[in-house]
Order: sequence, then structure tokens, then C-alpha cells
Amino acid sequence: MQEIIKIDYPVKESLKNLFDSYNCELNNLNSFVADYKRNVYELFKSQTFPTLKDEGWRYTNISSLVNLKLSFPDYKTHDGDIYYQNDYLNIDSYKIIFYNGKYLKRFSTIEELIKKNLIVFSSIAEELKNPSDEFKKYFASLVDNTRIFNSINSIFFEDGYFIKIKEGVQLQKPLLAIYLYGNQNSPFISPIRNILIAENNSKADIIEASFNIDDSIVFENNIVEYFGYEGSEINFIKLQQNNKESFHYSDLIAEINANAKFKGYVFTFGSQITRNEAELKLNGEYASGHLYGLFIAKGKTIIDNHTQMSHIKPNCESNQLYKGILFDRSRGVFRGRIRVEKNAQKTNAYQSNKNLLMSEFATINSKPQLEIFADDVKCTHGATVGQIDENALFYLRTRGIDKENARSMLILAFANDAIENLYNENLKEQLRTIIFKELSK
Amino acid sequence: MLSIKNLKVKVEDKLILKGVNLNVKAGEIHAIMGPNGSGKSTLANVLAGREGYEIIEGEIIYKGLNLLDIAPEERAREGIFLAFQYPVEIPGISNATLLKTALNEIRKHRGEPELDAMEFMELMKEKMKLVEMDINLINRPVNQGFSGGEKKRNEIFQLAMLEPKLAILDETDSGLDIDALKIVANGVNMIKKQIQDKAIILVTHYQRLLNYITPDYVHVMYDGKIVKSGSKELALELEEKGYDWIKNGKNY
Repeated sequence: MQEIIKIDYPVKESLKNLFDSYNCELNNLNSFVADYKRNVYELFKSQTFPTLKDEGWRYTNISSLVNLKLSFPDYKTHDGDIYYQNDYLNIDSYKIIFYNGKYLKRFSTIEELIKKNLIVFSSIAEELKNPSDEFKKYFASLVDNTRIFNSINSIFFEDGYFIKIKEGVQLQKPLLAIYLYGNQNSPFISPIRNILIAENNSKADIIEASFNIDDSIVFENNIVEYFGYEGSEINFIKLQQNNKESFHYSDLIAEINANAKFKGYVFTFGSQITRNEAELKLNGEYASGHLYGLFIAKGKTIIDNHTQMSHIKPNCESNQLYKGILFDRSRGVFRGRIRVEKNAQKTNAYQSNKNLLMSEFATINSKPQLEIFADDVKCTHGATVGQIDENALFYLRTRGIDKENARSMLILAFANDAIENLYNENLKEQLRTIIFKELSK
Repeated sequence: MLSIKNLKVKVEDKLILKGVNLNVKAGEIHAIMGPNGSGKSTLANVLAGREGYEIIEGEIIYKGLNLLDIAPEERAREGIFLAFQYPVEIPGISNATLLKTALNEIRKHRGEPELDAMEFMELMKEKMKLVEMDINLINRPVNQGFSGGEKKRNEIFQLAMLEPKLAILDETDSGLDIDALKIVANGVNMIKKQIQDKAIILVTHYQRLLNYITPDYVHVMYDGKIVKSGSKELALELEEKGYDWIKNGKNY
């Protein structure tokens, strides 16, 4: 076993090869980013992919990923209208469309916001050529490249968004970033790197949706660095629906400053292997951070949620509620860490993970971790695993509702409190529809 | 409408029903009485199609259908309704959602158009009045946090909404105070009056519900069999003499 670990996996070999060709292209980029990427690559060369022996990956076997040979997407196969027709989220919103990792300005509808000076927007591709001072200020300040999935992103990202919601602005409609993937013959990588800034007292909903339009295999790797300033209130909603051959890695790192509120919603319907990481840093007094997760896994897929609530300053509150629904031979993982620094007195932290096992072969590994260095804190956590209530199922059936429908209703009911907190009715309705469809697949 | 012949049912290897015979015609109300553990609730559950019951022998014919061959939801669509002894709490599903889904499934089965939101609301208001149910309960999760009386009333409300052909009320009177009992009884009587092609089976331990709903037949169940059948006077006799009378009679 040990020998195998020392050999580079096919995926790493392929990424090294990709970098050799990519290295020349870096010359076209501003040296600020090119140097960064080259430095991370040096780090990457000595990094290994995690195995089940790594504590943070104990339950998540990524052998199907590390045996993959990755390439860049072939952009020649772009078809301008395919993705437009696949505009599956029918939400009144300001759209930001990406296709195979590239920002498509002509399908995006945020011009109005930029013109009205409500937001600052640039694509990361633009910033790579000609970085603004602001981009330089925020870029890579939260990302931890000691982790290999992050370093892969740092080396290969070519696009994404830089958005700043201006002071006091309240967006009436959500910003909707859609990541579409498709039309490729071999497994490909095209990481996305986003920077999102909510200035003082700004309010907005941001929805991020990943979707495969066909059975092309993508290793999606999406990082968001978020900065929420005094009094800002942001709902960040992530919706992931890759196909069951693809891989999905995401990392959300959020710095939440004094009196700011951040609510993250993570709706995961799985790829072959999905790993969602999130860290909320409560970095100013009276900041609050929430994470609501709902994950539904089927077949032999794995959905792994890794969260950290970092209480850095006093008087902050955090709340995590993750709900998992696991079918067939799928595996779900929830590792939620609450870390309370010595200085973070009067912390209020709550965490709960509830799971529904729909098959005797499905597995859930739920692991809360508390690291508390302050002495005046309130921290609670809990995890449950259960099955569909047969009594309730029978009750619904005796009212004329067929078994499958009744099961879906009960699952939806179980999932409900992860959806209920959203106040956008349109989005709620669409989510219920998506969940219903996922359940009846 | 319903014909049960020599029904023998096992639960976890224990024979509970030991040969039940019962015939119910449209327009009739039957009361099935008996001491605890006599098999009354088992019979009600078998009629509704609950899993976990092993049919050893016998048959149940309902409107020409072999009932034991069809799923609970199909039975419901064919007009069978079980008011539960212990109504189930379902967090996350509102009463309105349950009823709208159920009613439309049943209407679809009958070849009737689905009700739109307005029609559904009107119907609900009308039926809620019937059982004097608080309108606020309609958007609350099914039975969650309901008092015992509210739960039973909710069963009767569902019964009124779904308009079944054969209603089976499993101990609907237990745990009710006298006012709630009257309301439940009124609800049942109203339904009975409205449609003549219906039948009702009341499963009850006590005679008191029968003060408000007059049965055409009273059956006494004991040790997995119907041991005595008669008119409504039988219930009064039972009340007077107690179940020991039946038990002793059997021992003779």
C-alpha cells in the first residue's frame, strides 16, 4: 500500500502534463497571477492526493478520481445556443453564465447592475490579464493551498467572477451564477475562482448552480472567497446537480465581519464524488454565520460535507443544520467542526446533522468536532440517523396517495427545514420540484 | 358491499383473527365491539391494507374486488377509509397538502377533474364547519402538536373531505371528552345522511359512541372471532352485563 501512495496517480501525472502546456500561456497573463500560479505549482508537485488514511478523508474513497486522466476542455466545440436552452433554473435573477469554465458575457444579464453602479463586476479572465488593485487586495487571501484540491484550483483556474456589492445596496433580485458543463469527449478540468465582497450594509442573494447538460465528465473545482463587511446580509445558495460520472469539489471560505450576517445553503444532488468544504470565519463581534445543507445521494455516489465554523471574535453566533438522504449504496459524510478561539467569549454555536437512510446498503458517517478554547460559550451539536416512518407512509397511502409519491412527500417533509429558511418563494418552489424530480429518478 | 369470509390472520406468528365472517351492505352502520385484544383493530388494519399481517385463510370481497390483492392506496381510491385509532403525526407535511394530494388522487381515479386551489379551499371550509375544526389547523403539519381530540376530529374532517364509500372508524371515540364525542358523532351522521350508498364500520370498546350514532348491527368480537351479532340492543346489553358475559358464555 505505501508504495502505491508514493507513485503519482494518473490524475496527478495528467495535471503535470497539463501544466507543461499551460506554463507557456502563463506568459500572456499578468505576472502577479502568473507568479502565483507557478509558486503554487511548485507546492503541488510535492503534494499527494488524500487517501483513507488521512483523517479528513477517512470515509471518502477517491480512487475513481485519482485514476482519471484529465485534460482541458476543447473550446472549439462550443455551441452558443445549447446552454441557453438548458437554462433550467427559471428564476427572475441577474444571470452570470459560465460554460465549461468560461464566462459568457453575451448570455449574462448583469449589465443593468453595473450601469447603475450597484455592483462592481469583472470576470476573473479579465483580472488575470489586467488585475485591478482591488482584485490584488482580496485575491487568494483566504485560500489554503496546502490542500491539494485547492492548489489544483489555484494553478489552473482561468475564470470566475469578481463581484463587489456596494455599500448600502440591496439587490431586489438574486444574482445567479450558472456553471454549465458539456460537449466534451474526455474528462476535463476547468476550475472556477470567485471573489465576492459585500460592502457595509449591503444585502443580496447569490445563487450558484452547477449543471451538466450531457454525460461529459467534468472534475468541477470551484472556490469562492467571500468577504462580508459590517452590517451586510448575504444569502449564498449553492445548488449542485452534476451527472453521476462527474466529480465536484468546492470550497467556500467566508470572512464575516462585525454585525454581518451570512447564510449559506448547500443543496447537493451529487456527482460521482462530491466534496463540499465550507469555512465561515466569524471575524468581528456580533457576526453570525449559518450553514444549511441538504444532500441526496443515489447509486454508488459519495457526498462529503466538510464544514468549519471559526469563532474568532466574541459575541458571535453560528448555526449549522445538515440533512442527508441516502439511497442505494451511496455514502454521505458530514464532518462539522466548531472552533472557538480563546478570545471568542459569549459564543453561541449550534450544529445538527440529521440523516435518512433509504437503503440498508447506504452509509452515513457523521462526525462533529468541537475545539473550544474559550470558557464562556454555548455550544450544542447532535446527529441522528433514521429511516422513513412506516406508520406515516401507511397513513398517507390509506388516503389514496401511492407509495412512491407518499415516500417522496415524506422525504421532502424531512428535507423541508433546509428549504423553509429560504424566503425566495420562487426558488423554494423550484427546489421542491428539483428534489421531487431527483427522488423519482 | 363488503363480504369477509373465514378470515384468519397472523401477526408475528400469533394467530389473531381466527375465522371472521362479516357482511356489510350499502347504507348500513355496523358496530364491532369487544374487549381489548379481541382482534378489532387488527380487522380494521387488515381492511385498510397495513403491512405486517399474514393472511392465513379467507377472503375479503369489496365491491367485487378481492381486497387482499390490492394496495392500500388503491383501496382508498376505491372508497375505503380508515380513521386511525392513533392518528400519525407527520412533521413537514401540512394538512392542506395531504388532503389536496389525496383528494386529487381519488378524483383522478374516479375520472373527475382535479380541484383547483379555490375550489379546494371552499370545500375545506365547508367540511371544517361540519366538524367544528379550527381553520388555523389546516396549514399546520398533519396532527403535529394536536391534542387527542383534535387528532380524532382531524380524522373525521379527512373522512368528510374524501367522501369514502366504506368508512372504518377504529376507536375514534377513545380519548374524547363528551363534547368532542358529539362533534365526531355529528360529523359521521351528517356524512351518513348525505350519501346513501355508503357504509360505516365503527370499531369501539365502549357503548357510549352508540348513544350518538345508531348502528344497524352490533357484533361482538372475542378471541379473534365474531361471537355474537344482533341489533343495537346488543350494545346496551353488553354495557349492562360487561364483556365477562360474552367470555363466560363462550366458556359454557
